[in-house]
Amino acid sequence: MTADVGAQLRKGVVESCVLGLLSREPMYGWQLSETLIAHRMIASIGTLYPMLSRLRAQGLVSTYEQASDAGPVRKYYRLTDAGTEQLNNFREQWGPFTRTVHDLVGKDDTHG
Amino acid sequence: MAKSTAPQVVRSYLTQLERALVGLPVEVRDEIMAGIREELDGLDAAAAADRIETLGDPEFVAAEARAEAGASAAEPPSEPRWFPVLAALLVAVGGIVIPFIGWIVGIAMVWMSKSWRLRDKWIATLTPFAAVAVIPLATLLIEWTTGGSGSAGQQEPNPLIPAAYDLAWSGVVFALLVNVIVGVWLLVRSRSRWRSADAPTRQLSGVQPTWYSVLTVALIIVGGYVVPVVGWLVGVAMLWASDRWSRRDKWLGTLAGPAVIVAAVAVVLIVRLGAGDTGNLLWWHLVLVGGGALPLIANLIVGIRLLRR
Repeated sequence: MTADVGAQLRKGVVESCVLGLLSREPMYGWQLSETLIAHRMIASIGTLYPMLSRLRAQGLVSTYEQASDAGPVRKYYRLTDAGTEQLNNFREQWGPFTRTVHDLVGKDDTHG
Repeated sequence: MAKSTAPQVVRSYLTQLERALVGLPVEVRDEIMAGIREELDGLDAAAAADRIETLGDPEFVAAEARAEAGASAAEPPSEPRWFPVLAALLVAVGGIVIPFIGWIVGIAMVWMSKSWRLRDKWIATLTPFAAVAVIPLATLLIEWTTGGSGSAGQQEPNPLIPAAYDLAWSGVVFALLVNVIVGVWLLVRSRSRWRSADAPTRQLSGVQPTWYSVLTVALIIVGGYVVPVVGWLVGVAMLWASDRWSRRDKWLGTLAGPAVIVAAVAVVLIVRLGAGDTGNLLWWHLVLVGGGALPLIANLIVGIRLLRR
């Protein structure tokens, strides 16, 4: 039950979290996936790529390829200008949104 | 020793994953495969097994991907099958049927189509231009090298250097030829889409059959001797169209032949200039023989490597 609530909450924000991560530095798929899994935002790398495809189709992220020191050429994802704008929109709304939600559900009076 | 081949555990995982991902949009599938392949690339068996453990069961990865891809719902409606085929055919021969305009229409259709990725569209559009640009560059090179060995101030026209008119014509013919290859390549590329569209009924077809790998390698090695240049180019196109090889392998397979030819020509030119332009004919015979034999050897070595992947 609680897991379902968590999943629904994550669904709405995980894309913005990807944008947030990418606003710090370009990252490759595995790196993003590890970070998001470590923070329990996604369950599998399988979740990540459809999302990245979608973000790319919307022009919010772009990709480039770069060889790593260890060998493999990696595809890096980075934020586009539109992505930065989208992220800023999210940031502006997120604070008031959580405050509102907190006001509405914040107190558990029945079990006070 | 075993470094040239991906560990068995990696290959079998990638094969299973590719099967599990059948039915997903091609871009997503390609991106997952490429992302995971780049991460497992170059790891030894133990490290790779470790990573694979982290990744989880292929079916699980695929299920998560399917759930997420489904969440985006609005998949663009698919275009009719004939559309990419006609586009590729127009690119291939449109310029021959209706000079220039036929090709333009083909390229426009390629750009409108959903059957190719952005990169493929750029490659299809720019390749003929790049190919044609090679001709004047080669001429300049000949002019420069022969000019360098001749006595100073000599203004005689060099018969080796074609006139502008010849250049233009060979450019047009060359471009037509290149477009045929590009068209065939586009057809090959778009087929991977049909496969995923047919996925539910053709579960196992996502995995590259052995004959494809063998044919690809065979064309790279001997294709150029059967149909000069074109045979080899088809092999290279098939190499790039495949999912089986890494980017590095693809570049290796593509550049091995040209690289040894360039190296051989460079050596001959240097030696020839050093020797003060003696034995002209002999040297060019050497170039001919070397140009024939060296790529064969290089491609043979690379081909064996590709087949062991």
